[in-house]
Amino acid sequence: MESAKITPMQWFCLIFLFELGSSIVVGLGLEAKQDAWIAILLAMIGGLILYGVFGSLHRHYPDLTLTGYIRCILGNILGWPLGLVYIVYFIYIGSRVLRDISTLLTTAWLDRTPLVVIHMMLILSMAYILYHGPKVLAKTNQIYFYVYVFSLLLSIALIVASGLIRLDFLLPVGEDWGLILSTAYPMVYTFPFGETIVFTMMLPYLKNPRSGLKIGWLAIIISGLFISLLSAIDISVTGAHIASRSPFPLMSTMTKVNIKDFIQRVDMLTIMILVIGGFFKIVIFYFAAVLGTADLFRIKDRGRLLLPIGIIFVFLAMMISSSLSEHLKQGLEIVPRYLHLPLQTGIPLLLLGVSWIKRRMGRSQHPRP
Amino acid sequence: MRFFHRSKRGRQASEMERSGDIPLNDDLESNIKQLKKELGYSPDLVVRSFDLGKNSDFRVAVVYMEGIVDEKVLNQWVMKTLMIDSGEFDQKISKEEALELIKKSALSVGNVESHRSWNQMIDALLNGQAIVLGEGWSEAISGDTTGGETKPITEPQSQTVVRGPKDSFTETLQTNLGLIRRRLKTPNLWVENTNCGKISRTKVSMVYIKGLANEELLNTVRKRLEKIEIDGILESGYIEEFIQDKAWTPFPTVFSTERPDIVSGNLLEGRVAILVDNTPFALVVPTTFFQFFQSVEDYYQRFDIATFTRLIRYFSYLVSLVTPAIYIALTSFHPEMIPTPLLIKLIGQRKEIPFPALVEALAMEFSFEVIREAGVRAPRVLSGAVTIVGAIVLGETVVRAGLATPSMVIVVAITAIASFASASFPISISARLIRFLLMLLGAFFGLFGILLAMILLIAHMNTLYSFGTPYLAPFAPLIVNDQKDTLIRVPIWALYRRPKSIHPVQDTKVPEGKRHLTKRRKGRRPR
Repeated sequence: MESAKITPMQWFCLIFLFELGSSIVVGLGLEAKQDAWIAILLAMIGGLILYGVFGSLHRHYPDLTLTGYIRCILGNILGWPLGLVYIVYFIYIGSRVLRDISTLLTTAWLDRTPLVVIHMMLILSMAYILYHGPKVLAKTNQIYFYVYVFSLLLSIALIVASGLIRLDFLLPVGEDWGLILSTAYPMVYTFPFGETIVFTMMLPYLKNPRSGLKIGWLAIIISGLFISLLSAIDISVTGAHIASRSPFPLMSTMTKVNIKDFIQRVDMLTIMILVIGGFFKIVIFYFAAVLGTADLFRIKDRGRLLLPIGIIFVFLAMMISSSLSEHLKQGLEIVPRYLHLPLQTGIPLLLLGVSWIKRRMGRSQHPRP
Repeated sequence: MRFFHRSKRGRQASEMERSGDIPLNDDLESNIKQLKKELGYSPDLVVRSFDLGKNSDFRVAVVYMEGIVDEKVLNQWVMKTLMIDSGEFDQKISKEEALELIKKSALSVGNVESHRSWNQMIDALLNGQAIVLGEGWSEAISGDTTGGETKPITEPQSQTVVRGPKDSFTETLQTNLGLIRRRLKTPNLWVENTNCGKISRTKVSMVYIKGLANEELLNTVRKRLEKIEIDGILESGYIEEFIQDKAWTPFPTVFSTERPDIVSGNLLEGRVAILVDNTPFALVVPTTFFQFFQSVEDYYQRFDIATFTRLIRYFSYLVSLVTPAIYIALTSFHPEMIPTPLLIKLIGQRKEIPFPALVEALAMEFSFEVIREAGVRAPRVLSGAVTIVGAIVLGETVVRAGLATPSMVIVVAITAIASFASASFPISISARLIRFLLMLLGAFFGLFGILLAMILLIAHMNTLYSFGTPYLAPFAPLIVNDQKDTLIRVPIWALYRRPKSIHPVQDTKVPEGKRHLTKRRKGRRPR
């Protein structure tokens, strides 16, 4: 691995921005109506356990990425294709987020700009960052972490200051626990918490793995609390029904901000939040896909992979669905169940089990692929 | 060139010859002839031959270059002592004894050296020293008479303060070193000299405080200075371009200043200063982006005031960067974001204008850049005319003619004023370039384009390093200690640690045990 290292603080920022990324704008767990925030907190617990699974896998193979230790654990014949599946998966999820951003941008701001142009601009900017390596990615992410948290807190302050919050929209609390649980698992659990699987590709870049892993828990908890809070705010401003029907609930919440007819139209903040969050989410998927491809196909110079994979991102995000409603339906119903669950939870658990059995049987000599 | 000398000295000189150098001749006449020939019979080479003492046994010659020697010193302490005052020469002494005598006592100037090779002697001569040659000596004695007309120390032109010292560097390296030494009276203030430039042989000094500056940093600076291959260094800008980490960036990664107090402050933090002869600007490395926003006056004013003015500077940089771009983006993409009464006003103005917002903004910004450049380059006598044309014709008439909206003129004016408010000139130039890029992106992609450009800009700044220090250092990576003196400035007594981003050898400014003495205790008043 290169000398480029990510500090624990930067690791925190990476996970925080990644988790909040697109999830707070598209609105999470609104199937559970006014109890969405509970569903998010419940799902967060699952996310923490899953992060523990990734952490213990990393502890056994500290120098390897996910695609590397899959081959160690399952052997080359099974592991290599599975690694390829993960690369495709990362590209697919990344393209979905890309589509989220471009859709919001075209509905809100750039109604006459073609999607492909927005995709290309975003991907090219990301390629520039990734070309300079993980250190620049982590540092840029860190700077925008400050900007992001500032705009988030400012948005919350504006919403509170305009007196929009009606806490009675949140009542009754815990109306239907069955519904809450079925929203939390698998839906909210897989997106965004399960998506931390992408960080298994970057764990070897961590400067101080012990404290770095620990700070990851903190990042997941704090980002979970933030998502839960924002979801509660969405519901308490517009009511559960409107929030669940709106494609971008935070957007519809923010458009209502109006302080003395002077501070209004602050949806600029929302779009900033979405673009920054989404940008740094996609860039991590992009990076993971590049790292995985370089690992599987043994390509030394990662820079040469940036454009080919970037082009896949641009066009996949175009073709992923023909309309916004199709896109959202896929994202909220089909993908979590048939794609997220097995790949985020199933296979890592399987890997952990197999490596545990292997070690028990005394054959764990960490054979290099 | 000097091949005809080879026969006399033979093998002894072989080592010197290998480096293109030859030893001195012991014949005075031929030495002088040779010297004149090498300097192309230049009229400013002065040769004064005379007999030493009353017994006109042997001739000596004093050689110097007119204009770069201090004539007063030369006449008083070289010529006079050799010709008149030296009674020792009355006795009959041998040539060797005379040589020793002159070296030891007769030349009553500060710095006396003897040279055996031509190149050394010519270097000394061209540095303004007086050379004494004698009949039958195979060496030359040089006395330090460096001087000549130089500019006196003046007030700083580009980094002015209300409160604080009013001296600035001059074109003379020695004076500049003296200005720093006067502030830091420590034996640990070390100076290393090198010569850069094959033809110009410019003196370059590397100044640092031994025991504070990081050894690794010193080695890097030394190595980069050594690597410079050029014929002439005329300004510290030459050095800057050679030693900076990355060329392809609008951002300066080497700090430059004309104020000795800034240099001294930076040396105290463990940085290295590079002084170049004939340049009133010193270079300081390593630097960060945020250093360009720290005026030295921040440390001379009260800390709360200093924090406020510093924040103003950051804000005005941002304003000078994005204002025109945001104006274009808002008017052409997001009119719904402008409050309605304001929007009506703007549309009313824009209705008359025959250009799209981008063209209008580009034209106005460009003409402002032209005016600014004209203001800098025009002869002082013409600057009044530049102002009149700029202010009246462009500001007033363009609006009345309906070629630009008054709000566009306001935007350009705000941008210009904001760009003047930065503490350091190089950083405000960088904003000028980036501004145009942002305007284009704002015109094509609205606020999204500006946002993306800002992400890219930060990413680009993160790729920059200044001698191993990340350019956005106390923020990415986060260094909590350095936050005390970046966006804000805490009181001086709380700044007891040196910035960690430059890895000083000694971390604390005050010894551990005495730190409490620096803090002011609550409720204690002098009686």
